[in-house]
Amino acid sequence: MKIIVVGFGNLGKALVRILLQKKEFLECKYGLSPQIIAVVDEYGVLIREKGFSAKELLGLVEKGRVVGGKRMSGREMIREVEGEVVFELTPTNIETGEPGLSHIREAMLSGKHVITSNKGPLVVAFRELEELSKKRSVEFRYSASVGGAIPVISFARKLLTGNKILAVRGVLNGTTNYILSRMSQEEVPLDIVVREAQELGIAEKDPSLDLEGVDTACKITILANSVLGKKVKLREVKREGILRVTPEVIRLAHEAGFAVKLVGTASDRVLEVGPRLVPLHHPLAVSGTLNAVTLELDLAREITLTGFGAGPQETSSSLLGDLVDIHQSLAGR
Amino acid sequence: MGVGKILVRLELELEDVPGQLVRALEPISRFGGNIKSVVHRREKKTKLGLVPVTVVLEIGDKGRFRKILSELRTQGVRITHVGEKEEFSEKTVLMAGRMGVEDLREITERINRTGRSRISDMRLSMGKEEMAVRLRLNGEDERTLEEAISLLERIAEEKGLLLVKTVEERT
Repeated sequence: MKIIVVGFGNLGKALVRILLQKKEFLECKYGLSPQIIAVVDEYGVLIREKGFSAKELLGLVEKGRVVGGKRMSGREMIREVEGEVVFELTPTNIETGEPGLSHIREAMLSGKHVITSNKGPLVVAFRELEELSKKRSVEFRYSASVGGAIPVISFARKLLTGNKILAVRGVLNGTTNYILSRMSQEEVPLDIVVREAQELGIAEKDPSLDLEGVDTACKITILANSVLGKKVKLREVKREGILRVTPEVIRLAHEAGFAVKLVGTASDRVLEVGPRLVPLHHPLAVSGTLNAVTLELDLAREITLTGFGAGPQETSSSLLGDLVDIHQSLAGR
Repeated sequence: MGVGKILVRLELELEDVPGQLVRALEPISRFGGNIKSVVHRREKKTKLGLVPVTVVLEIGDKGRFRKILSELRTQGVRITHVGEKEEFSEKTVLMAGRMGVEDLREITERINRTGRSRISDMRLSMGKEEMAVRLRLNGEDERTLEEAISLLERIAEEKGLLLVKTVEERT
């Protein structure tokens, strides 16, 4: 299977490393031989029509960027190279969805399957991309966009064969969950914990998208559209972040047997993100950078998945799951 | 909340003389009732000059509740309404921000005024500039509690406060 990797940041590098590491496993277990034939980042495009060698790929990962490649745009490369699957892993832009949105459109229009971790195109144009993928008879997977290593979207799709999914709710942002957990342990104000999280690389330099609940709102939008079959936009999500959560709030919650968590919820009645009181023994009361998602179902009642919501290696596991899934879908066609 | 406990709303009418209210509440405690709230409306005297009082109490079984009623009647307390419900719902919420005692009073009054929900417990924690308050809401059922929470959402918005609700339960 010929692979094109668009975006070569931490996630792109982790994916390449894992594809090398799991080469034999994928071959033996699924008869799947992914072959990377092109890599693109902001510095250029490297193409090997017959596939990169393991040595070349490791060299690339070590350099951390494309060196000596062609100067061409991602779209041009996607259009011109004869690949089968495009991994779209460029940074998220929730306003325009670009450049990911154009990459995905181009890939689908040129008959390539798409796997992405990029929330931007999904938030901006979910329905359009789903329809385009059907029209062009290509597979479209985006498990890594929500929950990191937790394969909530693909798991939900499997459950949908027999269950109706009534609601989804979850702790979907590792940064804010770490901050709230530390505030609870240390009884210190938010700004101090944010600085600590930044020093540890858990929070970004500008953590506002996380702290204001925008990241969680994006994920809830994606889940509402993909798992609940809604047609909702990010702006429809009622949103409150954690900026107004004080140590006093956390203390009062704790005294009554609750943790404070940033919870996103999507159902027929509700589409919202906000700090919530979660009973200490509740499945969503996960600590640190962990994520947890509960699916509410008509038959199975409730199923909660817990796991690491971020990190290149963890997120690569979802990308790999999508690749195997596409491989199996194609075999079953 | 104990399952099987009875939550009762009693509407009483008392004479407007000192000690009446304490005397009316005494049998409730004596028979193991837990008084959740008392609303004494002196400004709304009846034609007979009596003061309407609403008492909400929680009690373990009907036998003891009947004893309370009979004791109150023996004392000459006029009981105008008995509303009982075997199960009742409870929810905890937190509010935080710049607020004072007047705000807390207003919040309590607006919730209690609905007549279907009430604040049965309130805990405060003071920060440097802001206050956080934990409220326990009791209502006849989940729906009335949802209405109370919607009201709290409106109040929080009006006053620029943060409202932290309990995580939604299975719909």
